[in-house]
Amino acid sequence: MTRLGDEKTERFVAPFLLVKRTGYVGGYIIALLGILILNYSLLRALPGNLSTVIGADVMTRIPLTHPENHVGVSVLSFLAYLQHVLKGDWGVSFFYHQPVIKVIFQFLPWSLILGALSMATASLLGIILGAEAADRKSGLFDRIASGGAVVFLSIPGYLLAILLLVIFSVVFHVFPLSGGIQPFQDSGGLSSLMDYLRHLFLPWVTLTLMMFPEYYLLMRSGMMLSLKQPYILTARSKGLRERAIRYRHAARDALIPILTRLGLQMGSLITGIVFVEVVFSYPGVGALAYESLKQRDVLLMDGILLIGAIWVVLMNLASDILLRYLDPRTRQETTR
Amino acid sequence: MNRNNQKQALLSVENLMIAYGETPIVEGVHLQVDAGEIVGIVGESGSGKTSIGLSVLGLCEGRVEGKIYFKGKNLLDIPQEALRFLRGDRIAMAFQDMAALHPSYSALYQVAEAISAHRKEKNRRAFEEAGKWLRVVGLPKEKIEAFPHQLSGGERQLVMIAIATANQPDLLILDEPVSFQDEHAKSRLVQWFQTALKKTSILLITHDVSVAARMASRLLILCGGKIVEEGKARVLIEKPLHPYTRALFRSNVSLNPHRELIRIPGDPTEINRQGCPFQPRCVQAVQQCRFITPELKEVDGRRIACHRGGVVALLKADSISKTFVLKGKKIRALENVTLSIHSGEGVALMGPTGAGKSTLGALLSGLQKPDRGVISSDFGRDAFHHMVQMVHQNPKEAISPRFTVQQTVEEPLIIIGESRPFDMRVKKALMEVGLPASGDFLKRLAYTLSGGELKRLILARALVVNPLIIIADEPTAGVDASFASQILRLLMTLQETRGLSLLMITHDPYVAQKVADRILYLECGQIKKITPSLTPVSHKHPAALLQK
Amino acid sequence: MNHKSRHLSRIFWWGVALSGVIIVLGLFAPVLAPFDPWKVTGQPFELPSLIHLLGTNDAGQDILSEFLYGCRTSLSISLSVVALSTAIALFVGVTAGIFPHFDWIIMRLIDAFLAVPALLLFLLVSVHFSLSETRLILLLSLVFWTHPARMIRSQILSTRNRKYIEAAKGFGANTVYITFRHIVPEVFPILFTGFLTRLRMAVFIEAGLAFLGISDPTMKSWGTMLHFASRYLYLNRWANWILPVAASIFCVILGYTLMGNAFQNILIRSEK
Repeated sequence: MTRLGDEKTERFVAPFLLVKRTGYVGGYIIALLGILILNYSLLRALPGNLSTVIGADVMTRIPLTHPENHVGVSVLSFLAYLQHVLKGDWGVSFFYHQPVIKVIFQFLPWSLILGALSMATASLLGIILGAEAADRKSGLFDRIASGGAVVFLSIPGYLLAILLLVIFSVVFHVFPLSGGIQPFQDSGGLSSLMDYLRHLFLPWVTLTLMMFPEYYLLMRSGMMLSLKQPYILTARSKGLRERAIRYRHAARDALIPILTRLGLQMGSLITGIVFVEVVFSYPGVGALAYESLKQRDVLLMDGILLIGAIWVVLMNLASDILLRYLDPRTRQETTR
Repeated sequence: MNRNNQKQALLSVENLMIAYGETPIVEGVHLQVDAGEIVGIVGESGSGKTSIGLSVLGLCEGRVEGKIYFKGKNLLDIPQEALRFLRGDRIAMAFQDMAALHPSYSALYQVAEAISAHRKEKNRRAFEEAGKWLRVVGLPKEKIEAFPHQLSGGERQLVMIAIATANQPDLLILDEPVSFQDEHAKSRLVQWFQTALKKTSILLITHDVSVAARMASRLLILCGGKIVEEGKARVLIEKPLHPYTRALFRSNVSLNPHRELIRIPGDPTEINRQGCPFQPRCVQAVQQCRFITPELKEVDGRRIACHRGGVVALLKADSISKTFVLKGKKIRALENVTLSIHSGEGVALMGPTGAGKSTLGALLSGLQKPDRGVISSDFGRDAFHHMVQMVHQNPKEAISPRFTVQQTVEEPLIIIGESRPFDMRVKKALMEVGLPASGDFLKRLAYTLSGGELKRLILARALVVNPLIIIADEPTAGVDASFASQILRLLMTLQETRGLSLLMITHDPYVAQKVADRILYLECGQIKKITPSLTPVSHKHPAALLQK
Repeated sequence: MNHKSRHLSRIFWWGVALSGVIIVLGLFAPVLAPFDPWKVTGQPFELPSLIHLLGTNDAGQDILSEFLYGCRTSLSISLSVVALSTAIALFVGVTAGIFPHFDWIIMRLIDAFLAVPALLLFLLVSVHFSLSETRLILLLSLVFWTHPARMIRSQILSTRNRKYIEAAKGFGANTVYITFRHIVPEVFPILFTGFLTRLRMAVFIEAGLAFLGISDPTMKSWGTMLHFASRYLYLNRWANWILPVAASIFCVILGYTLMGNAFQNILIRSEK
C-alpha cells in the first residue's frame, strides 16, 4: 500500500491496528460500546439533564452518598454502569415502574411476530416475483410490477400506514382502528387468535408493502444480470430444466447483492415498525418507544435503543454467515 | 469421401446457415460425423465454428436454417423438451469460455449435477460417480471439491470436460478443449479423447491446427463461415491444397518447429461474403474469386472450394536434362529432373557443390534451355522473363559498373518495355529492401555500394517488375550472420506481403529448414529426396532430417 | 437507441415536473399563502370554503397556508441536510481513501454508525433535547454521511490503484496533483448520484420525525400536519387535511426517485 500519509499519523494510529484482527466484528463492538457511552454520557455528563431529577440511584443502584456517583463523567462509574448493563440490569422504567428489561420483553414478541412475518412475506414475494419478472422483459406484467414498485418506494411508510388505516378502518370499517387485541385480554383460544389476526393484518400488509419493492427491484436487476452470465450456457448444455437453471443457478447469484444489503435493511425495518405500530396502535416495541418518548422515560428509551442495536448487529452477523455459505469467493477473507 | 446414407451417420448436417441479424455468419455447411469418428473443424476466430457447435445443441442465439440430423432425426424440427433431453446426455459440449463454471458450486457438485439431471441416480451415487470421473479426467484428488476460483485455468477446463463427458454422450462437441493445458497434459488429453471414449464420436472445434492434426481423422477447414477444404487429416497435412489451409498450417507454431512462421496478411475479419471468403487475403486471387463463391469439388483425394483448384503450380519442370561439354567430356549436369513450384511457396534446393543446383536455377529462370524435357509455366512465354527473377550469388558481378543505382533498378522496366516514368516504382522497390530512396542515393554509382547494400540492390531490381517467383542463389553464402538473418527476414517478409514464391538455392541445411515448405535434395544431377518440412511436432535434428 | 433515450428523458422530465411544482410552491410560500399559518384565523375543523380553501386544522389555522409553508420547510431542511452530510462525507471519505492509516478506524466508525438504528437514536436524543430546525439538521446529517462516505472512499481506493496513477507517479507527480487532476473528477459523479437519493430520504425522514412528534411541534412541516391530523381521523376531515399533504410528499419523493433513476441510467449507459 502506498504511503501518502506521514510518519506521525502512523504512530498515532498504530495502537489501534492491534485490534485489526477482529475485522469488521470490531465495528459492531464499537457500535454497541458507542451506544452505551452515549446513553451513559447523556444521562450524566450534560448539565441540567434528567439524571439530576431522577437521581443517580435509579441507574446504578449505588447509593447517592458514594463519591463516584455525583453528576459527572468518570471511567469508574461508566464501568459500573457497564457492569449493570451486562448483568441485565438496565434500570427501572419511569412510567411503568418495572425493570426496563421486563417491560421491553413484554412488548418484544408482538414486534418480533410482526417484523418476522413482514420480512418473510416481503422478501419471498419480492424475490420470487423478481425472479420470474426477469424473463418476461417487455411484458405487461413487468411494467406494471416495476411501476408499482417504484410507486410504493416513494410512499413513506407512515403515509402508507395512515392511508391504509383511513381506507380500511374509517371508510370501510373492515379492520379495527387500533390495538393488538381487544384491551389486554390474555385469554387463549381460537377467538382471541382470530381477533389478534384481525389486528395484525393491516400492520402486516403495510410493512410488507413498504419493504417489498426494494427486494423486487433488486432481484429483478440481479436476475437479468446473472442470466447473461456464461455459466448459464453451461447449465443449459447440461440439459437442466428451465426452472432448475433459473433458481439453482441464476437466482443464487442474484441473491448475493440482496443479502449484502440485509444489514442496512434492518434500519429501515425498525423505522418501519415504529411508524406502523404508532399509526395502528399495535402494542409492540415501536409503540413502546413512542410512548416512552412522550413520557420522557429515558431509561426505557435507552434500553430500546440498545435492543435495537443488538438486533441489527445480530442480523448483520447472520447475513454475513449466510453470504459466506452462498458465495464461496468470500470465504477466503478473514477481514473485510 | 464416401457419402453415407444419412441414416447411418451419427451426425449429418446439411446446408447449415446461421445468421445473427442480417448477415449470415455460416453458410452452406455440410458435415458428417460417423460413429466412433473424430472430426475437426478448423478456422480462425470469427469463422463461425463455435456457432456451428452451438447450433447442434440448439443453443445458438442466431437464426439457424438447414438440417441437422442426429441419429436420423432433424434436431431443428423437434420440440425444445426433446432437445433438452438429449443435451448433456446424448449430445454434450465442452466450452471455450473459461468463466463458464458457476462460482458458487464446487467442481464435484457441477459434475454431479450433470449426471443426476439425466439419470435416476440418488444424490450420493451421483456424487460418487462425479468424483471418480473427475479423477479419470485428471483432476488431482484434493481439488475435486474446490470452487472454480480456487482452480487454475487448465483445471477449470478439465472440469468442463468432465461435465460434458460424464454421461458418455454419443456425440461430444469440444470447443478448444486443450488450449490452457501444458504440453504434457495436452498429450495426455489428446490420447484420452482418442482411446478412452470409445463409444463417443467427437466434433472438435479449434483454431489450433496441430491439435486438430493429432486428434482428428478428418478435417474441415472453415473460412468466413464456409468450408474451403475438407478431407482426411493425413492427406491435408501432407499436402494442403487450398491457399487458406496452407496459410493456416504455415502460421501454426507447433507444426513448424524449425521454419520461420509465415503470417497471414490482413486480419481474420477481412472476409468476402459475396465471393470466395478468403479472397481479400489470398495471394493468387483472380477477378472471379471476388464475385462468385467457389463450390466444393473433389480434387486430389479431398474436397476443395477454390476457383483455381487450390494452390496453383506456377512453374513445372518435366523430366528435364542438361548436358555440358567440358574438354571433350560430356557432363550430365541434370538428368530427368521433375519438379514444380507453386504460388506462394518456399522451396529450398540443396545439394553438394557441383550437383547442378545453379544450372537448374538457370534453366528454371529461362536463362538457358533444357536439352530434353519441358518447362511449362502458368503465365506464358512472354511474361516469363519478368515472372521469374534470378537473384545472383555475387552481386558485384551482376551489375554494370557504369550504372547508377537508379539505372540499375529501372533497367528491367526498360527492357520489358514499360512506359516511363519509373521513379515511383524504383523508389518503392528500394524501400521494400530497406535501401534509402533519396535523390542522392539514386544518383550514386552502383559499384560504390557495400556488399550488403549491393545484395539488396539486386533484390530491388528483381522486385521492380513484380515477379511471381524469385530464385535466390546462395543468398547467405559468405555473409556474416547478422546480415544473413537480415536477408532471410527480408525474403520471408516479401514472401508474406507479396505472396512471392521463393526458390532458394543453398547448401546450408539450417537456412533451408528456416525458409522452405519443401526441400529438394539434388545429387549428381538427380533429385534424390523431396522432404516436406511440415510434420507435426518433429523433434529431429535438422541435419538428420536430410539423412532419412 | 433513439427511441429509448427519448423515453428515458421523458421519465426524467416527469420527475422534474413532479418535484418542481412542490419546490416552486415552497419557494413562493410567503407570497402565495393567504394567511399566516401560525395565526388562528378561523374556527377549528372548518370545512373547505372560499376563505379557507382547504379548511382549518384543530387549532383554527388555515390548512392551505400550513401546507405551503410545509413545502418550504421540507425543502430547506432536506437541502441543508444533504449539503451538510455531503460535506462531512467528502471529508471523511477522502481522508479514508488517501490516508490509509486512518482508513481502518474510519471504516469501523462507519460500520458502527450504520449498526445503530437511526430512528431509535433520534427518539432518544429528542428525549434529552428539544429539536429545533437547526438541531434537527445537524442530527440528520450525522446519520446521512455514512453511506456516501463509504462510496467516496471505495471510489478513491479503486482509482488510486489504477495504472494511470502509477504512470503519473512515474513521471514524478505529487499527491496534490494526483488528487486534483485524477481523483476529484472520479469522485464528483458519485456525489451527484447519491444526491437525489439522499434528498428524497431526507424528505421522508424529516416528515416522519415530525409525524412522530419528535421535532418542534410549532414548526410548520408536513409531518406535524400529519401528526395532528391523524389524531382526529374519526372526524372524517382526512380529505382536506391529510390528502394534500400525502399527495405532495408522494409527488416530491416520486419526482426525486424518477430523476435519480433516469440519472443513473444515463450514467450506466455512458460507462458502457
